[in-house]
Amino acid sequence: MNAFFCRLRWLARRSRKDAELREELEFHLEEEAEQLQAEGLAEEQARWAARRELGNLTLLQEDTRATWGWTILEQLGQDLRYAFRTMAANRLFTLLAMTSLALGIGANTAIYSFMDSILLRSLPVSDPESLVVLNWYAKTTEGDSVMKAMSGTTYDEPNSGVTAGIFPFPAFELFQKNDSVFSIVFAHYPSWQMRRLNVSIKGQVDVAAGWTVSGDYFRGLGVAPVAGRLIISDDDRAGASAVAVVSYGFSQKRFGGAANAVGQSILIDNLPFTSIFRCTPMSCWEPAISLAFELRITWLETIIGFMSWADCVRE
Amino acid sequence: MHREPPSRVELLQGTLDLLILRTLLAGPTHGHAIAKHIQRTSEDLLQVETGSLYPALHRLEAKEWIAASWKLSDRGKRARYYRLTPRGRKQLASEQSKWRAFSRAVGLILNPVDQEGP
Repeated sequence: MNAFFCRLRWLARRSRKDAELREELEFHLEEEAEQLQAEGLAEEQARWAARRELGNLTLLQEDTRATWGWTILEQLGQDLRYAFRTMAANRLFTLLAMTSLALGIGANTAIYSFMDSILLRSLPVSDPESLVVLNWYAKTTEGDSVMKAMSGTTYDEPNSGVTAGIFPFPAFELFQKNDSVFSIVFAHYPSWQMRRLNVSIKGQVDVAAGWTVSGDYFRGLGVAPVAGRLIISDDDRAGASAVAVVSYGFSQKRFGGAANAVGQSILIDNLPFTSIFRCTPMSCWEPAISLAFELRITWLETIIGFMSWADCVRE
Repeated sequence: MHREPPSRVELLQGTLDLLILRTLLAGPTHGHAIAKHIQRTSEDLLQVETGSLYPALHRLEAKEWIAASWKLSDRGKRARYYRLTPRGRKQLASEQSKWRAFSRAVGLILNPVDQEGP
């Protein structure tokens, strides 16, 4: 470390040292010439002989400079200057190279943060490890299945056969009654995300995506609202007024603020929803997506409307 | 009249530092005088190339075995005078003993005391 600072100090007085070296060698030449003159050579001859004896002056200076220990720094400086000169001389190439680098790094960063939020980070809910998804499996082919008809999608698992996460409402009620295994059982129906919802607010119509959820959905996820309240199990009964929760982004866009969204009337697919509650920005998996990638068209700028599950089932 | 160059001995690698340090033991002096002193003292057998003398002096200075300052020479010119530092003195002692051991070892091989019979 000491040697390093020593070199830095030297670097600061580099030009002075260079001049000193020249003066030192000049003195050497004069001394040599004088001595040769004393030995009987003519002045001019002596000067030349001294110069010959010294040899390659530039090489000598180079060798001496090398002992000062700046060679690496000097060469680095030269390389940098050369690099910048080349770039300045070849502007188009530099521009293309920089653009492709910037795009490549940017795209990489975006993809990595997207994958990070999707795959590595857990859901932004209070206790993501304790969440489970219930599916049913049928090993038989579809024709032999107990299930005769359903509205929704199934998919084939290699090990377990036909798989789906859709249950009849009585089955959901059964799960809720036998709640010894699960502390909270809730249901949601996400196909409305695919189906575009027709949302009308104060006569302004918009297309949005949404979920139908059961009353315990938000209690089960353990998220809190920014304003108003979330759907509770009391909303989930026949005759209760239909309520919806909107995403943070939607409230900003359509209501112009968090508090304004509370208690507004909206029409969702021509069904009147009397109340609107604001979801927290941390819930609805919204920040995970919005941070990573602009998926706003389908997710964030749109309403994430939550209707009472009971209404939906009885529809 | 040109002086006849005497048959010279090549300096062994690494001995120049030792010779410079030993020369400076007598007192501070400049590069040219160091070269001439080595040449004279070795009866013109050793000639220090200027091309290796100054890099060696600056290398020794970087190692802080010698220190340099500008003084007026005998002829009233500004000259860079080198002097031995305490560290250089220590280094000279160790190099000298190393050299003595080395030359003794070489001598033992070249002039064996016990002639081995064929």
